[in-house]
Amino acid sequence: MDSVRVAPQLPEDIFPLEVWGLILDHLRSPSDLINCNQTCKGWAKLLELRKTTFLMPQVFPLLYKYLDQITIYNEEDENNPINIPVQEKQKEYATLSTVLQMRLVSHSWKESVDTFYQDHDAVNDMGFLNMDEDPSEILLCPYTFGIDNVDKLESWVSKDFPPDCNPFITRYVVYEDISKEYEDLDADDGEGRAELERLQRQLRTSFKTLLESFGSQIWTVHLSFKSSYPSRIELYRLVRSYLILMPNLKGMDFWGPSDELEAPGTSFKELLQNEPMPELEHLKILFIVPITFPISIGILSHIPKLRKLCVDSHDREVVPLNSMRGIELREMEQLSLGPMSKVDLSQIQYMVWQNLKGLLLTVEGKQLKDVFGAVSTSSFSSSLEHFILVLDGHVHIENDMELELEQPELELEELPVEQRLEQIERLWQQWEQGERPLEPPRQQLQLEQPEQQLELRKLKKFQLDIRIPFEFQTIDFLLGCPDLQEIVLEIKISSEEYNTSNSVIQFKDCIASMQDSNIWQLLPMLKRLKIKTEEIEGVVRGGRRVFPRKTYTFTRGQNGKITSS
Amino acid sequence: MALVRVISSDGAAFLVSQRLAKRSGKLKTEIETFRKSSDNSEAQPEIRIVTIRAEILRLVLQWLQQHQNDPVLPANQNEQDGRGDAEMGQSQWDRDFLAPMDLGIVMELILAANHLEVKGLLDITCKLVESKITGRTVDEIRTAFKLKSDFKGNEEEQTRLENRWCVEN
Repeated sequence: MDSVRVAPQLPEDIFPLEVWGLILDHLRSPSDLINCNQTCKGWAKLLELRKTTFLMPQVFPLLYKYLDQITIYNEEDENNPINIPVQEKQKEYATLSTVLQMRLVSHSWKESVDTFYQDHDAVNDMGFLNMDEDPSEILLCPYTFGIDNVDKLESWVSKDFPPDCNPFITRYVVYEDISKEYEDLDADDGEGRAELERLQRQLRTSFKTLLESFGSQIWTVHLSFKSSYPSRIELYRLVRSYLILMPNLKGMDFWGPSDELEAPGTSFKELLQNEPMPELEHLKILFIVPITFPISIGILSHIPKLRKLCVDSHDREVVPLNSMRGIELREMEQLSLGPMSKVDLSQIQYMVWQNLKGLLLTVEGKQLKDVFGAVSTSSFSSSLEHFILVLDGHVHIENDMELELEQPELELEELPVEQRLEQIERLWQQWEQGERPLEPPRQQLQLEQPEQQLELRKLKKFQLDIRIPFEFQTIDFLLGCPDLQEIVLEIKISSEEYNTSNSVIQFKDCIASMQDSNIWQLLPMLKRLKIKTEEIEGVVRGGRRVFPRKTYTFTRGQNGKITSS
Repeated sequence: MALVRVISSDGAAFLVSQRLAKRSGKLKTEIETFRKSSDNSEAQPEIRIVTIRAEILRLVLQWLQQHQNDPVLPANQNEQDGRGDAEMGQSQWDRDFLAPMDLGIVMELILAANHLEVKGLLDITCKLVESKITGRTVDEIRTAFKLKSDFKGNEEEQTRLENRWCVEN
């Protein structure tokens, strides 16, 4: 290992080190100090005594995993009566006492700890545009510890803390209106109902008291309303009263009730006008499950700086997008929309989202042909750079178990596409209504190809995740995206042969050798193509049917050569 | 022997074997990228690491050289619990290697190991810093890290109040 000095110009050739020392003494920003430290040996020496201070903001995110830990496993069998396999998820938290101790060492260490927890990536950069491989939902899940449960409210509000104190180290608060201690109360019983209502009133009062003192310190809130409310208007007013007291919110995770609420009637317009939601000028990230009218409109109408929005639904119900029609979200850059109905897909063209750069759409597989048309004619068709499309066949049934239903078997080959889809839909309905054999029928749904191209002139990255037995025979629909640089396809394949002579892009018959496909000429900006395949039919191994998977990656080098790995 | 030239942020160049360099995830990727884009298969790669100064880069390469025959820990080793097997991987040589270092240098090594994707080195350096914090009083931590309290006014007292609230709840 030889060391050779290749840059002879040194700072001490310009000024004596003592002078540099005086200059560096004035630097306060950790990033400036880190840069200076890396510049030369002389400066590194001058900064030696300050390193443990200015390096901590960068070191703490790596170090916290190594601090004493409490491992929280998922609930064990006794709470898992339907025998869902316990996932090996573990959550690690740096021990509270160690972290709190670090906050007392120095102002800069305190800031390092607080900044890490308050400005965690999970809050500020959900990785939507940068995420590498697997499409996933946007999650709002900042690390939290200490104060994360309003069950403890009673003791908090009784303490006398100075108003300029920040009681929430993470600045993240979780509010759920039904806690475990209420679960034993029988809401159908008169006394139980009365007690439940009393406890909930108490909870709301305590939460408001807390917000009145410290609401401005909260940056992220999880609001979950699970209990029954007499009307949407009452819930609207409650949410409004909370939001008024949290003016500095940057992120919000809102879970509305899953029960059908009484319709707001004709007075909702007056409600929105006379009692508008507060303007949340710092709110940049919003997660709504589900769209709860008119609360959703009330909130969305007053968040001018919103940049990331995720709309999902309870139990995979479709998201009624039409309720968002007319709301302008001009700064929104990233959007995730949960299961979409055909009707709601058609609403996309009325949405004013002309700066949208990243879109994650989850649709039922049978709506595929509508997706390309809806997205291509939307207000964001000229700005979208990253599009993730998930074709899902998941539904929720009893006990919140998520099962994947195979597409039912049907003699489809001779029918036109539309009729096939109608047949499939009927079978799905029968399946969901219980008119089904014990074993779900198995047969892949095959469509020739989407009838419409995707016309997105600025699209750079396209990801397709097919979670149902649906086989693409062509990817010609991408020809309308001339700027594409990266394509990631997770697709199902079968051994059946098709006539692909009409396809422009060579694809179906050459997945393993796409380096020789004409796609590299047809999409001249393409740098990377990744294809993950899973066989639809599967093979029997050791008495079990398995579905072999393969991954192919093709890369265009700087010299234009295509390599596979 | 195929070599690679690794240049630090302050301009020092280290000539090391590619076999050794590839034990760093980052250097391995850089070498492979260079190979793919170069027409000359004999050309010597040159990699500039703009975030690591010579003194630290030399320590990383020294550690890699000592551990060149160890099994490579993948970057996502023990990802679920977020840390590697520091205790398992720490040898007497590692302890002697870290012993004379100032904690400021160890913190620089943490950042360098993370940047260069050297999981084993990241584990032992983080574990060392952790051992100087966990279970210590605030004054002991300040002494170990040669830190002065830079709180202003009643800021320290206020922080104690915030902490107390967390602990009590």
